[in-house]
Amino acid sequence: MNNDFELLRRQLEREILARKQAESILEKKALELFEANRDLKALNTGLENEVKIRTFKLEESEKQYREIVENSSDFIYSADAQGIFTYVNEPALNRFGYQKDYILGMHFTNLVKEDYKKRALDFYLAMREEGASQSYIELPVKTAKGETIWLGQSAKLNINNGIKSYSMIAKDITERKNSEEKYKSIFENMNLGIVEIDTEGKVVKAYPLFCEQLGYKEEELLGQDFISKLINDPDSKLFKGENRSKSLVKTQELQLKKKDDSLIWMLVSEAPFFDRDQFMGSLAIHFDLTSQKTLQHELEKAKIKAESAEKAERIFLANMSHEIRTPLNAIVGMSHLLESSSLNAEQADHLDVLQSSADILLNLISDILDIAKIDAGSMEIRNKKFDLVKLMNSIEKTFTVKLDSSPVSVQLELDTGLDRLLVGDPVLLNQILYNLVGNAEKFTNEGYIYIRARIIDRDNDRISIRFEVEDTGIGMEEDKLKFIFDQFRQIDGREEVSQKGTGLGLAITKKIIDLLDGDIHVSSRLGTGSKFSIVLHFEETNIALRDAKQEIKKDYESIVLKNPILIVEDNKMNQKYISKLFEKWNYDYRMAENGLEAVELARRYPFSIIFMDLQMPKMNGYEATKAIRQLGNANSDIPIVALTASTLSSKRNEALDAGMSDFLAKPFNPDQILDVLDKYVNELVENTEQSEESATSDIHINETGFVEEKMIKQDLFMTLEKDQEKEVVPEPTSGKIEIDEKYLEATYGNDKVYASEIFSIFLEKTPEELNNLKNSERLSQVVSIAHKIKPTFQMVGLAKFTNDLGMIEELASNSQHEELNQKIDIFLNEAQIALSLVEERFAKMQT
Amino acid sequence: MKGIVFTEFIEMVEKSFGYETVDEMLVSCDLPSKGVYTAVGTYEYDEMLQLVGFLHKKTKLPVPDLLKTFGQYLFGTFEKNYGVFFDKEDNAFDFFESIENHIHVEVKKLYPDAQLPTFDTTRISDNILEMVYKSERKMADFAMGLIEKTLIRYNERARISRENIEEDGSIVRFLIEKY
Repeated sequence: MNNDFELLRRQLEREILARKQAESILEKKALELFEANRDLKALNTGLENEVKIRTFKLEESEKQYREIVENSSDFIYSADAQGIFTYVNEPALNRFGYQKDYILGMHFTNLVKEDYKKRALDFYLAMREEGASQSYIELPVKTAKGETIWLGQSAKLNINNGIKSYSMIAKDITERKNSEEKYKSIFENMNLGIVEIDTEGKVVKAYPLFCEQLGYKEEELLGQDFISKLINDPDSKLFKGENRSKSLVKTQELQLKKKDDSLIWMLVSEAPFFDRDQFMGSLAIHFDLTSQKTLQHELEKAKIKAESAEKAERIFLANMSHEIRTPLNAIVGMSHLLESSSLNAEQADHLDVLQSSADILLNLISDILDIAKIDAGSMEIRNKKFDLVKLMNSIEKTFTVKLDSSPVSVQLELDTGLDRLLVGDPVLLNQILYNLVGNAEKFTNEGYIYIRARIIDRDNDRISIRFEVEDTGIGMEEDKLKFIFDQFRQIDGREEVSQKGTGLGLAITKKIIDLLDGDIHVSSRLGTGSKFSIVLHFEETNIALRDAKQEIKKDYESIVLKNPILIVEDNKMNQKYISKLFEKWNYDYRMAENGLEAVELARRYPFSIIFMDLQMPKMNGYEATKAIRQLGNANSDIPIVALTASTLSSKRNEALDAGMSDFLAKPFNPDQILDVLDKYVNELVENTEQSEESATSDIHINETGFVEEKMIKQDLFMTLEKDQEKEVVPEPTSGKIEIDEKYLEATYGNDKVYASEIFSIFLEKTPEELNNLKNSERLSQVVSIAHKIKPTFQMVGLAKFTNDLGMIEELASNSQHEELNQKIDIFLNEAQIALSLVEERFAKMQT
Repeated sequence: MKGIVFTEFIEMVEKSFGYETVDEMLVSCDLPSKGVYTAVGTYEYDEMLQLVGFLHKKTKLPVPDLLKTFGQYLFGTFEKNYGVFFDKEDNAFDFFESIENHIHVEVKKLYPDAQLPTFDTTRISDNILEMVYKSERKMADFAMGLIEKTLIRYNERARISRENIEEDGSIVRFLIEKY
């Protein structure tokens, strides 16, 4: 019992102790739990604070970013994967002009300009499909106000948990774009095709217009060698060599090959382009020249047409002058013949009217032709040495004779300092003075006409001279003075003046003075008289006037020839004429009948100079010249002077092309031959002549008075026309058919034997040739005969016929049948008169 | 060692041999805890060895049999108190596999100082599971009792073979083959 009790007591004790132990453990656990809980609470509070701080910071930072975004000058917006706006910053809203509520939820293409929508949409779809993270595009946007602005828009594709969206930042590039568009439009309107070529010469970019110009697609050109593929000129220096990288623009007209193998003319410019000073390639700029080339071609055609029209007009004018003057000359001549027959008072009166009318008409025609020539700019200045004193004396003498029976006397006052030969154009000067004195004469009924020449300046070889023509005539009112140089204008209130002019004289004078770079001044008082004052400039030689005669005439003795002269001429009369001259001057010469003989002679003997006819049997002058030039001996280099009756400048060019040195038109006079010899052979003689083929322009005034006055005008006319047509065929020296004694004097001097030889050959040959001409059936025959006998008439002092034959030759060449037949008839009739005159003159020589 | 092991062991001895044997065991053993155990406490492992040793002397029953019997006994307590772990699985192999990775994890949460054996499991095939027991307590027999009871709990029949990987019994390999 006791044991059981003890057992129970121990059991209970154990149970109690176990409970207490468990309670203590639990209490301890509870405490731990409490403390853990307290720590947790503390931790929680800390966390909350931390969250607050972090949240605040986040808000701050977000605020900052938002402010940056909102205040950015750039437009910032975002859109979802479909392109719907999810955010748009303030500046963008302002610029686009939309409310935020309105724009959010809008598709971005609604902002893009209509014609650009598809392109923009495709661009961003492609970006999304390809997953490109960044992109840039420039697109036009329409604002709420309807204004178009250009955006340069960078987009970033965001992918967040598989959700795509766009962030975009854009700049307003309207200004740049507009200027770009402006230049683009300028470029497009300039029609320039542009190609970029790399340093290797390969095409890297071809702009649309260029592709269009050549018919290629851009991809067909990319990578191609620009030069070999497109440029048709292998010698072109463009896009080659070291110059490519030089900063200068090179331009050339080139033909380019189109895709269809046709060629196109282009103006190609090459300019290098650089990237940070590194040469990257060339820019080729092409301007289509097709239309220019076409235009050029048309212009050339038009020019040729205009030129031929002009030539036709000139020929027409020249023809007309002849056509009018030939019958006019007949009228004048016949009226002079009538004058010497017995006439009653009435008939004499009528004849008087007839004569003065014919004279006026003749002068009018001459004046009109002068004006036409000056206006056409075809009047040339032919400077040469001349004797001013002699020229002035001639004028004085002419008018003194003319005014012999009138109460007007002519006074010449010359500066004593005029003691040397001058160089100038004596023909034009003569015309000026003649017109002015003639003008004074017309308006002066009594008193004086003063002709003066005064040196006003002299500097080395330059000399300025004032010429004055003063009269005591009717004068004119001051307000009329300014009109007097106008064409076809005569001063009113002068009807009483019996002899009216054409009204062209002063106009011509003024124009010639302008041409010579001179000045003219006029002063006048009504009832007292007029004074014309001219200043002209000349070159002064150091040749004294007392030696002038020989100087002008050329001293043949001073011309020394080392070797003989070779004359190549088939015409007997010409042979005679020229050989006689050389004999007279004691020059050694050889004669060849044709080109073949000439070449043969030239092969064997050395010559100093060759005078060569152009049209000859067997071998003509051109061929002979070419052959001689190729001989390879000393004669290959000597001067060869063409002799021809042809008046065409084309013949002259042909002669020069064939290798001839110069050109002498038949008929020529002894001075011209001397001029040529002087020019080519004798280098010792001083040579100031500018014109190598100047005709005998010395004015020969004899004492026959009135008739000679007209003659001067005719000579003048001759010179002018000659200038224009490059002709040396003289005009008829008078309306009458008469032998020009002056010419004979100048040509043959006192050598009667020489003259009579020429005359006899003429009389021997001419009737036969005239007969041939009469019977010729083919135009070519007419041309040939006319050409052949043309110079011979001049040699017997009948220049009119030479001229007529020239006309016949030309008409025949141009197949102008009707005119030609008429002309030949007149010519043949007149030639009969001529023959009898020559016969008469020849008979006189024999005595 | 967790107090529940001691309290359950005391209860099993009392039920089998009466409290007199329990008293004699607690008095005769030199126990630092004086034989006062509570389920929430923790005690020296050495006390359990003394208790098992006394019972072996007293009953002349081999120690492995005692430990195995104790395991079978403790299974009942586990099933009663922690039935939720068994209900989670629907077969014994799945349950064995959940011990190491699930049940012991939960135990550690409640008793961070608990010293637990490890059970590494490998499914050799659908019907064969290898379980490697590792513990310095060398109480594989105790584990054997628990395994047998578990199979019964899931109404499964299996042949259980055991092999000492370490001779002292600290690592033991069980091969459970269902049939």
